[in-house]
Amino acid sequence: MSRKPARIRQRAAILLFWLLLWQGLAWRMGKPIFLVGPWEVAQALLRLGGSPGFWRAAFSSLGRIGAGFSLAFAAGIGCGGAGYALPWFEALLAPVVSLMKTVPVASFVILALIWAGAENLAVIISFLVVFPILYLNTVAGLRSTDRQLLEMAQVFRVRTFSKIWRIYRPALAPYLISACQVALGMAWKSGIAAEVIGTPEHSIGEQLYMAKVFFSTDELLAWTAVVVALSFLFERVILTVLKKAAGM
Amino acid sequence: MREEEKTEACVRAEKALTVRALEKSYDGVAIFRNVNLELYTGGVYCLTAPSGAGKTTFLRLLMGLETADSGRIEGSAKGSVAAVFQEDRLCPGLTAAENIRLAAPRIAPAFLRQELQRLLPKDSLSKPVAEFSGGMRRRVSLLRALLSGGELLLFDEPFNGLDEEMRQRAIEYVKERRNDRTLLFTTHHANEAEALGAQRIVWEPELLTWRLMQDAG
Repeated sequence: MSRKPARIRQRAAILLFWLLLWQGLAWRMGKPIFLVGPWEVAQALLRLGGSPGFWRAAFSSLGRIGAGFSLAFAAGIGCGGAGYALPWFEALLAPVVSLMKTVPVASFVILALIWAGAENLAVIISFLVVFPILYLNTVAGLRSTDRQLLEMAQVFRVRTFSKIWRIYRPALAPYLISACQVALGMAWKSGIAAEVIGTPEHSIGEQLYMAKVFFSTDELLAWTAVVVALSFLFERVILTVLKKAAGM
Repeated sequence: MREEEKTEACVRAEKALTVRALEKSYDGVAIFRNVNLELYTGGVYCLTAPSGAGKTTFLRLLMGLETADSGRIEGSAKGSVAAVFQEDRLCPGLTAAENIRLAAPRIAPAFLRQELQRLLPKDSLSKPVAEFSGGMRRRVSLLRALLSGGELLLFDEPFNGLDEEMRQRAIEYVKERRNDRTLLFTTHHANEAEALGAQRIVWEPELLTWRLMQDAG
Protein backbone atom coordinates (compact mmCIF):
# COMPACT_ATOMS: atom_id res chain seq x y z
CA MET A 1 0.00 0.00 0.00
CA SER A 2 1.26 3.45 -0.89
CA ARG A 3 1.88 5.85 1.99
CA LYS A 4 1.87 8.86 -0.32
CA PRO A 5 -1.64 10.23 0.44
CA ALA A 6 -0.97 9.95 4.19
CA ARG A 7 2.32 11.81 3.80
CA ILE A 8 0.67 14.55 1.72
CA ARG A 9 -2.07 14.95 4.36
CA GLN A 10 0.58 15.15 7.08
CA ARG A 11 2.53 17.83 5.20
CA ALA A 12 -0.62 19.83 4.48
CA ALA A 13 -1.54 19.69 8.18
CA ILE A 14 1.94 20.92 9.20
CA LEU A 15 1.77 23.78 6.66
CA LEU A 16 -1.72 24.73 7.82
CA PHE A 17 -0.56 24.75 11.45
CA TRP A 18 2.26 27.22 10.75
CA LEU A 19 0.10 29.43 8.53
CA LEU A 20 -2.59 29.60 11.21
CA LEU A 21 0.00 30.38 13.86
CA TRP A 22 1.44 33.15 11.65
CA GLN A 23 -2.04 34.58 10.96
CA GLY A 24 -2.92 34.38 14.66
CA LEU A 25 0.27 36.23 15.65
CA ALA A 26 -0.36 38.95 13.03
CA TRP A 27 -3.97 39.47 14.26
CA ARG A 28 -2.90 39.52 17.90
CA MET A 29 -0.12 42.03 17.19
CA GLY A 30 -2.43 44.21 15.12
CA LYS A 31 0.44 46.26 13.62
CA PRO A 32 0.75 45.62 9.86
CA ILE A 33 4.07 47.52 9.73
CA PHE A 34 5.68 44.87 11.95
CA LEU A 35 3.87 41.76 10.80
CA VAL A 36 1.11 40.91 8.34
CA GLY A 37 -0.53 37.50 8.12
CA PRO A 38 -0.47 35.09 5.16
CA TRP A 39 -3.93 36.28 4.12
CA GLU A 40 -2.69 39.87 3.63
CA VAL A 41 0.44 38.58 1.86
CA ALA A 42 -1.72 36.57 -0.55
CA GLN A 43 -3.85 39.65 -1.22
CA ALA A 44 -0.71 41.74 -1.90
CA LEU A 45 0.61 39.02 -4.19
CA LEU A 46 -2.63 39.01 -6.21
CA ARG A 47 -2.54 42.79 -6.42
CA LEU A 48 1.12 42.83 -7.55
CA GLY A 49 0.58 39.96 -9.99
CA GLY A 50 -1.94 42.01 -11.89
CA SER A 51 0.59 44.72 -12.72
CA PRO A 52 2.94 44.42 -15.75
CA GLY A 53 5.90 45.61 -13.64
CA PHE A 54 5.61 42.47 -11.47
CA TRP A 55 6.37 40.05 -14.28
CA ARG A 56 9.08 42.26 -15.71
CA ALA A 57 10.82 42.46 -12.34
CA ALA A 58 10.43 38.72 -11.72
CA PHE A 59 11.79 37.71 -15.14
CA SER A 60 14.62 40.27 -15.04
CA SER A 61 15.86 38.95 -11.70
CA LEU A 62 15.41 35.36 -12.88
CA GLY A 63 17.44 36.20 -16.00
CA ARG A 64 20.26 37.89 -14.07
CA ILE A 65 20.57 35.23 -11.39
CA GLY A 66 20.11 32.47 -13.95
CA ALA A 67 22.88 33.97 -16.09
CA GLY A 68 25.23 34.29 -13.10
CA PHE A 69 24.54 30.70 -12.08
CA SER A 70 24.92 29.33 -15.63
CA LEU A 71 28.21 31.16 -16.20
CA ALA A 72 29.55 29.95 -12.85
CA PHE A 73 28.34 26.41 -13.61
CA ALA A 74 30.19 26.34 -16.94
CA ALA A 75 33.31 28.06 -15.58
CA GLY A 76 33.32 25.91 -12.42
CA ILE A 77 33.20 22.67 -14.43
CA GLY A 78 35.68 23.94 -17.03
CA CYS A 79 38.20 25.24 -14.49
CA GLY A 80 37.56 22.20 -12.26
CA GLY A 81 38.43 19.90 -15.17
CA ALA A 82 41.57 21.93 -15.88
CA GLY A 83 42.48 21.99 -12.18
CA TYR A 84 42.12 18.19 -12.01
CA ALA A 85 44.25 17.64 -15.10
CA LEU A 86 46.85 20.35 -14.50
CA PRO A 87 48.21 20.65 -10.95
CA TRP A 88 49.81 24.03 -11.75
CA PHE A 89 46.41 25.41 -12.78
CA GLU A 90 44.84 24.19 -9.55
CA ALA A 91 47.67 25.83 -7.58
CA LEU A 92 47.21 29.05 -9.57
CA LEU A 93 43.48 29.19 -8.81
CA ALA A 94 43.78 28.14 -5.15
CA PRO A 95 44.23 31.64 -3.66
CA VAL A 96 41.50 33.12 -5.88
CA VAL A 97 39.02 30.41 -4.88
CA SER A 98 40.00 30.78 -1.24
CA LEU A 99 39.39 34.51 -1.49
CA MET A 100 36.02 34.01 -3.18
CA LYS A 101 34.98 31.66 -0.37
CA THR A 102 35.97 33.92 2.51
CA VAL A 103 35.42 37.54 1.39
CA PRO A 104 31.97 38.73 2.61
CA VAL A 105 29.35 39.01 -0.13
CA ALA A 106 28.70 42.63 0.92
CA SER A 107 32.32 43.58 0.07
CA PHE A 108 31.97 42.01 -3.36
CA VAL A 109 28.64 43.78 -3.89
CA ILE A 110 30.15 47.20 -3.16
CA LEU A 111 33.21 46.54 -5.33
CA ALA A 112 31.13 45.19 -8.21
CA LEU A 113 28.78 48.16 -7.89
CA ILE A 114 31.74 50.53 -8.28
CA TRP A 115 33.33 48.57 -11.13
CA ALA A 116 30.34 47.36 -13.14
CA GLY A 117 27.31 49.38 -12.02
CA ALA A 118 23.95 48.15 -10.78
CA GLU A 119 22.62 46.59 -13.98
CA ASN A 120 24.72 43.40 -13.96
CA LEU A 121 25.44 43.32 -10.25
CA ALA A 122 23.30 40.22 -9.57
CA VAL A 123 25.01 38.35 -12.44
CA ILE A 124 28.46 39.07 -11.00
CA ILE A 125 27.53 38.30 -7.39
CA SER A 126 25.72 35.05 -8.24
CA PHE A 127 28.76 34.04 -10.28
CA LEU A 128 31.20 34.84 -7.46
CA VAL A 129 29.16 32.88 -4.92
CA VAL A 130 28.47 29.84 -7.13
CA PHE A 131 31.84 29.46 -8.87
CA PRO A 132 33.94 28.22 -5.90
CA ILE A 133 31.28 25.68 -4.92
CA LEU A 134 31.10 24.23 -8.45
CA TYR A 135 34.87 24.39 -8.98
CA LEU A 136 35.81 22.62 -5.74
CA ASN A 137 33.15 19.93 -6.19
CA THR A 138 34.21 19.32 -9.78
CA VAL A 139 37.82 18.76 -8.74
CA ALA A 140 36.72 16.50 -5.86
CA GLY A 141 34.29 14.57 -8.11
CA LEU A 142 36.91 13.97 -10.77
CA ARG A 143 39.39 12.88 -8.12
CA SER A 144 36.88 10.31 -6.88
CA THR A 145 36.88 8.55 -10.28
CA ASP A 146 37.70 4.86 -10.00
CA ARG A 147 41.46 4.53 -10.70
CA GLN A 148 41.03 0.97 -11.85
CA LEU A 149 38.57 2.03 -14.55
CA LEU A 150 40.96 4.75 -15.69
CA GLU A 151 43.74 2.17 -16.00
CA MET A 152 41.40 -0.07 -17.96
CA ALA A 153 40.66 2.86 -20.29
CA GLN A 154 44.39 3.51 -20.70
CA VAL A 155 45.16 -0.12 -21.58
CA PHE A 156 42.28 -0.42 -24.06
CA ARG A 157 42.95 3.08 -25.46
CA VAL A 158 39.34 4.13 -24.84
CA ARG A 159 38.40 7.26 -26.80
CA THR A 160 38.55 10.52 -24.87
CA PHE A 161 34.84 11.29 -25.26
CA SER A 162 33.83 7.80 -24.11
CA LYS A 163 36.18 8.10 -21.16
CA ILE A 164 34.61 11.40 -20.13
CA TRP A 165 31.04 10.25 -20.67
CA ARG A 166 31.25 6.68 -19.35
CA ILE A 167 33.89 6.90 -16.61
CA TYR A 168 34.28 10.48 -15.39
CA ARG A 169 30.61 11.55 -15.67
CA PRO A 170 29.18 8.90 -13.28
CA ALA A 171 31.87 9.80 -10.71
CA LEU A 172 31.28 13.54 -11.08
CA ALA A 173 27.46 13.51 -11.11
CA PRO A 174 26.77 13.06 -7.36
CA TYR A 175 29.25 15.82 -6.52
CA LEU A 176 27.73 18.21 -9.07
CA ILE A 177 24.20 17.51 -7.94
CA SER A 178 24.93 18.13 -4.28
CA ALA A 179 26.97 21.23 -5.22
CA CYS A 180 24.04 22.59 -7.23
CA GLN A 181 21.61 21.92 -4.38
CA VAL A 182 23.68 24.28 -2.22
CA ALA A 183 24.71 26.73 -4.95
CA LEU A 184 21.24 27.35 -6.38
CA GLY A 185 19.88 28.62 -3.06
CA MET A 186 23.03 30.68 -2.51
CA ALA A 187 22.76 32.22 -5.99
CA TRP A 188 19.25 33.47 -5.23
CA LYS A 189 20.04 34.74 -1.74
CA SER A 190 23.17 36.60 -2.82
CA GLY A 191 21.70 37.77 -6.13
CA ILE A 192 18.64 39.32 -4.49
CA ALA A 193 20.77 40.87 -1.73
CA ALA A 194 22.94 42.46 -4.45
CA GLU A 195 19.83 43.81 -6.19
CA VAL A 196 18.56 45.34 -2.94
CA ILE A 197 21.89 47.18 -2.56
CA GLY A 198 22.30 48.12 -6.22
CA THR A 199 18.57 48.58 -6.93
CA PRO A 200 18.80 48.04 -10.69
CA GLU A 201 15.66 49.02 -12.58
CA HIS A 202 12.98 46.36 -13.02
CA SER A 203 14.25 43.90 -10.46
CA ILE A 204 12.89 42.08 -7.43
CA GLY A 205 15.63 43.75 -5.38
CA GLU A 206 14.35 47.18 -6.35
CA GLN A 207 10.81 46.16 -5.40
CA LEU A 208 11.98 44.86 -2.04
CA TYR A 209 13.85 48.11 -1.45
CA MET A 210 10.76 50.15 -2.29
CA ALA A 211 8.67 48.00 0.06
CA LYS A 212 11.19 48.79 2.80
CA VAL A 213 11.12 52.54 2.04
CA PHE A 214 7.31 52.63 2.26
CA PHE A 215 7.09 50.22 5.23
CA SER A 216 4.94 48.00 3.04
CA THR A 217 5.43 44.75 4.93
CA ASP A 218 2.75 42.88 2.97
CA GLU A 219 4.54 43.67 -0.33
CA LEU A 220 7.92 42.85 1.21
CA LEU A 221 6.65 39.40 2.20
CA ALA A 222 4.83 38.97 -1.14
CA TRP A 223 8.09 39.61 -3.04
CA THR A 224 9.90 37.28 -0.65
CA ALA A 225 7.35 34.59 -1.50
CA VAL A 226 8.05 35.25 -5.20
CA VAL A 227 11.79 34.78 -4.61
CA VAL A 228 11.18 31.53 -2.72
CA ALA A 229 8.88 30.23 -5.48
CA LEU A 230 11.29 31.20 -8.29
CA SER A 231 14.26 29.73 -6.44
CA PHE A 232 12.34 26.49 -5.85
CA LEU A 233 11.25 26.20 -9.50
CA PHE A 234 14.74 27.09 -10.79
CA GLU A 235 16.29 24.44 -8.51
CA ARG A 236 13.77 21.83 -9.63
CA VAL A 237 14.40 22.49 -13.33
CA ILE A 238 18.21 22.54 -13.01
CA LEU A 239 18.35 19.41 -10.82
CA THR A 240 15.95 17.50 -13.08
CA VAL A 241 18.03 18.35 -16.17
CA LEU A 242 21.25 17.49 -14.34
CA LYS A 243 19.94 14.16 -13.02
CA LYS A 244 18.71 13.26 -16.49
CA ALA A 245 22.09 14.12 -18.04
CA ALA A 246 23.80 12.06 -15.34
CA GLY A 247 21.51 9.10 -16.05
CA MET A 248 20.22 9.09 -12.46
CA MET B 1 59.78 -29.35 -44.11
CA ARG B 2 56.05 -30.00 -43.81
CA GLU B 3 53.55 -27.18 -44.55
CA GLU B 4 52.43 -26.84 -40.91
CA GLU B 5 56.01 -26.69 -39.72
CA LYS B 6 56.79 -24.00 -42.30
CA THR B 7 53.81 -21.93 -41.14
CA GLU B 8 54.72 -22.39 -37.51
CA ALA B 9 58.32 -21.41 -38.17
CA CYS B 10 57.10 -18.32 -40.01
CA VAL B 11 54.74 -17.33 -37.19
CA ARG B 12 57.39 -17.97 -34.56
CA ALA B 13 59.97 -15.91 -36.38
CA GLU B 14 58.37 -12.61 -35.36
CA LYS B 15 58.85 -11.48 -31.81
CA ALA B 16 55.77 -9.93 -30.29
CA LEU B 17 57.53 -8.80 -27.16
CA THR B 18 61.07 -8.78 -25.85
CA VAL B 19 61.87 -8.17 -22.21
CA ARG B 20 65.46 -7.28 -21.41
CA ALA B 21 67.07 -7.16 -17.96
CA LEU B 22 63.84 -5.96 -16.33
CA GLU B 23 64.00 -5.07 -12.65
CA LYS B 24 61.34 -3.85 -10.26
CA SER B 25 61.33 -3.12 -6.56
CA TYR B 26 59.00 -1.48 -4.06
CA ASP B 27 60.44 0.52 -1.17
CA GLY B 28 63.87 -0.96 -1.78
CA VAL B 29 62.59 -4.56 -1.75
CA ALA B 30 63.23 -6.33 -5.06
CA ILE B 31 60.13 -7.89 -6.64
CA PHE B 32 62.08 -9.40 -9.54
CA ARG B 33 65.53 -9.00 -11.08
CA ASN B 34 67.07 -9.43 -14.49
CA VAL B 35 64.00 -10.78 -16.29
CA ASN B 36 64.76 -11.74 -19.91
CA LEU B 37 61.99 -13.14 -22.05
CA GLU B 38 61.05 -13.36 -25.70
CA LEU B 39 57.41 -13.87 -26.59
CA TYR B 40 56.64 -14.76 -30.19
CA THR B 41 53.62 -13.72 -32.22
CA GLY B 42 50.87 -16.28 -31.90
CA GLY B 43 52.40 -17.93 -28.85
CA VAL B 44 50.54 -18.83 -25.68
CA TYR B 45 52.47 -18.35 -22.44
CA CYS B 46 51.53 -18.96 -18.86
CA LEU B 47 53.11 -17.36 -15.79
CA THR B 48 53.01 -19.72 -12.85
CA ALA B 49 54.25 -18.77 -9.42
CA PRO B 50 53.06 -18.71 -5.83
CA SER B 51 51.00 -15.72 -4.71
CA GLY B 52 53.04 -12.60 -4.04
CA ALA B 53 55.78 -13.46 -6.55
CA GLY B 54 54.94 -10.40 -8.64
CA LYS B 55 52.86 -11.89 -11.48
CA THR B 56 50.41 -8.99 -11.46
CA THR B 57 53.24 -6.42 -11.22
CA PHE B 58 54.94 -8.04 -14.21
CA LEU B 59 51.73 -7.88 -16.27
CA ARG B 60 51.18 -4.25 -15.21
CA LEU B 61 54.67 -3.41 -16.49
CA LEU B 62 53.84 -5.01 -19.83
CA MET B 63 50.55 -3.08 -19.94
CA GLY B 64 52.44 0.17 -19.40
CA LEU B 65 50.75 0.86 -16.06
CA GLU B 66 53.98 0.72 -14.06
CA THR B 67 57.53 1.79 -14.74
CA ALA B 68 60.45 -0.59 -14.32
CA ASP B 69 63.46 0.40 -12.23
CA SER B 70 65.64 -0.68 -15.14
CA GLY B 71 65.49 -2.81 -18.27
CA ARG B 72 63.52 -2.61 -21.49
CA ILE B 73 60.27 -3.88 -22.94
CA GLU B 74 60.20 -3.83 -26.73
CA GLY B 75 58.19 -5.32 -29.53
CA SER B 76 55.54 -4.84 -32.17
CA ALA B 77 52.68 -5.75 -29.81
CA LYS B 78 53.73 -3.36 -27.01
CA GLY B 79 51.35 -0.59 -27.94
CA SER B 80 48.37 -2.82 -28.66
CA VAL B 81 47.31 -4.61 -25.52
CA ALA B 82 44.04 -6.18 -24.41
CA ALA B 83 43.77 -7.19 -20.79
CA VAL B 84 41.79 -9.19 -18.30
CA PHE B 85 42.69 -7.62 -14.99
CA GLN B 86 42.67 -9.40 -11.67
CA GLU B 87 39.56 -7.34 -10.86
CA ASP B 88 36.81 -7.19 -13.50
CA ARG B 89 37.09 -3.41 -14.00
CA LEU B 90 33.70 -2.94 -15.62
CA CYS B 91 31.60 0.23 -15.52
CA PRO B 92 28.82 -0.85 -13.14
CA GLY B 93 26.02 1.21 -14.66
CA LEU B 94 26.59 -0.06 -18.22
CA THR B 95 25.37 -3.26 -19.86
CA ALA B 96 27.81 -5.95 -20.95
CA ALA B 97 27.60 -4.72 -24.56
CA GLU B 98 28.24 -1.09 -23.55
CA ASN B 99 31.27 -2.15 -21.51
CA ILE B 100 32.70 -4.07 -24.45
CA ARG B 101 31.98 -1.21 -26.85
CA LEU B 102 34.21 1.06 -24.76
CA ALA B 103 37.16 -1.15 -25.69
CA ALA B 104 35.89 -2.17 -29.12
CA PRO B 105 33.91 0.78 -30.51
CA ARG B 106 33.85 -0.50 -34.08
CA ILE B 107 32.45 -3.96 -33.35
CA ALA B 108 29.29 -4.85 -35.34
CA PRO B 109 26.23 -4.93 -33.04
CA ALA B 110 24.90 -8.24 -34.42
CA PHE B 111 28.27 -9.96 -33.97
CA LEU B 112 28.63 -8.55 -30.46
CA ARG B 113 25.18 -9.83 -29.49
CA GLN B 114 25.97 -13.26 -30.87
CA GLU B 115 29.26 -13.42 -28.93
CA LEU B 116 27.64 -12.23 -25.70
CA GLN B 117 25.02 -14.95 -25.95
CA ARG B 118 27.73 -17.57 -26.10
CA LEU B 119 28.92 -16.84 -22.58
CA LEU B 120 26.02 -15.02 -20.93
CA PRO B 121 22.33 -15.77 -20.34
CA LYS B 122 20.11 -14.04 -22.91
CA ASP B 123 18.02 -12.25 -20.27
CA SER B 124 21.10 -10.59 -18.77
CA LEU B 125 22.00 -8.58 -21.87
CA SER B 126 19.78 -5.62 -21.09
CA LYS B 127 20.85 -5.38 -17.44
CA PRO B 128 23.68 -3.25 -16.07
CA VAL B 129 26.65 -5.37 -15.02
CA ALA B 130 26.18 -4.16 -11.42
CA GLU B 131 23.36 -6.72 -11.31
CA PHE B 132 25.59 -9.57 -12.56
CA SER B 133 27.10 -12.35 -10.47
CA GLY B 134 30.89 -12.43 -10.04
CA GLY B 135 31.20 -15.20 -12.63
CA MET B 136 29.14 -13.28 -15.18
CA ARG B 137 31.25 -10.16 -14.71
CA ARG B 138 34.38 -12.26 -15.24
CA ARG B 139 32.98 -13.52 -18.54
CA VAL B 140 32.23 -9.96 -19.67
CA SER B 141 35.80 -9.04 -18.80
CA LEU B 142 37.08 -11.95 -20.93
CA LEU B 143 34.77 -11.06 -23.82
CA ARG B 144 35.94 -7.44 -23.70
CA ALA B 145 39.58 -8.45 -23.98
CA LEU B 146 39.05 -10.98 -26.74
CA LEU B 147 36.73 -8.81 -28.83
CA SER B 148 38.93 -5.72 -28.65
CA GLY B 149 41.61 -5.36 -31.27
CA GLY B 150 44.66 -5.78 -29.01
CA GLU B 151 47.50 -7.82 -30.47
CA LEU B 152 48.95 -8.82 -27.12
CA LEU B 153 46.53 -10.47 -24.70
CA LEU B 154 47.56 -10.13 -21.05
CA PHE B 155 45.19 -12.04 -18.77
CA ASP B 156 45.58 -12.04 -14.98
CA GLU B 157 43.88 -15.17 -13.61
CA PRO B 158 41.21 -14.94 -16.32
CA PHE B 159 39.08 -17.90 -15.22
CA ASN B 160 38.86 -16.98 -11.54
CA GLY B 161 35.40 -17.20 -10.08
CA LEU B 162 34.04 -19.46 -12.85
CA ASP B 163 32.52 -22.85 -12.04
CA GLU B 164 33.98 -25.91 -13.73
CA GLU B 165 31.51 -26.03 -16.62
CA MET B 166 31.83 -22.34 -17.38
CA ARG B 167 35.62 -22.52 -17.02
CA GLN B 168 35.69 -25.14 -19.80
CA ARG B 169 33.42 -23.04 -22.00
CA ALA B 170 35.54 -19.95 -21.38
CA ILE B 171 38.76 -21.84 -22.21
CA GLU B 172 37.22 -23.06 -25.46
CA TYR B 173 36.10 -19.54 -26.23
CA VAL B 174 39.60 -18.15 -25.63
CA LYS B 175 41.07 -20.81 -27.95
CA GLU B 176 38.61 -19.89 -30.67
CA ARG B 177 38.73 -16.12 -30.41
CA ARG B 178 42.45 -15.67 -29.76
CA ASN B 179 42.99 -15.63 -33.52
CA ASP B 180 46.73 -16.26 -33.38
CA ARG B 181 47.34 -13.31 -31.13
CA THR B 182 50.02 -13.63 -28.44
CA LEU B 183 48.54 -14.60 -25.08
CA LEU B 184 50.29 -14.33 -21.74
CA PHE B 185 48.25 -15.28 -18.72
CA THR B 186 48.67 -16.06 -15.04
CA THR B 187 47.03 -18.94 -13.25
CA HIS B 188 47.30 -21.18 -10.22
CA HIS B 189 45.75 -24.10 -12.11
CA ALA B 190 48.11 -26.26 -14.20
CA ASN B 191 45.17 -27.70 -16.14
CA GLU B 192 44.31 -24.25 -17.55
CA ALA B 193 47.85 -23.94 -18.97
CA GLU B 194 47.57 -27.42 -20.43
CA ALA B 195 44.13 -26.82 -21.91
CA LEU B 196 45.38 -23.72 -23.70
CA GLY B 197 48.60 -25.42 -24.80
CA ALA B 198 50.67 -22.76 -23.07
CA GLN B 199 54.41 -22.63 -22.70
CA ARG B 200 55.19 -22.10 -19.04
CA ILE B 201 57.15 -19.23 -17.67
CA VAL B 202 58.28 -20.32 -14.25
CA TRP B 203 59.42 -18.42 -11.20
CA GLU B 204 62.94 -18.93 -9.93
CA PRO B 205 62.72 -17.89 -6.29
CA GLU B 206 66.48 -17.96 -5.63
CA LEU B 207 67.16 -15.57 -8.51
CA LEU B 208 63.89 -13.61 -8.18
CA THR B 209 63.34 -13.95 -11.91
CA TRP B 210 61.11 -15.53 -14.55
CA ARG B 211 62.37 -18.17 -16.97
CA LEU B 212 60.69 -19.62 -20.03
CA MET B 213 60.60 -23.40 -19.84
CA GLN B 214 61.81 -24.91 -23.08
CA ASP B 215 59.47 -27.22 -24.99
CA ALA B 216 59.89 -30.84 -23.98
CA GLY B 217 61.61 -32.80 -26.71
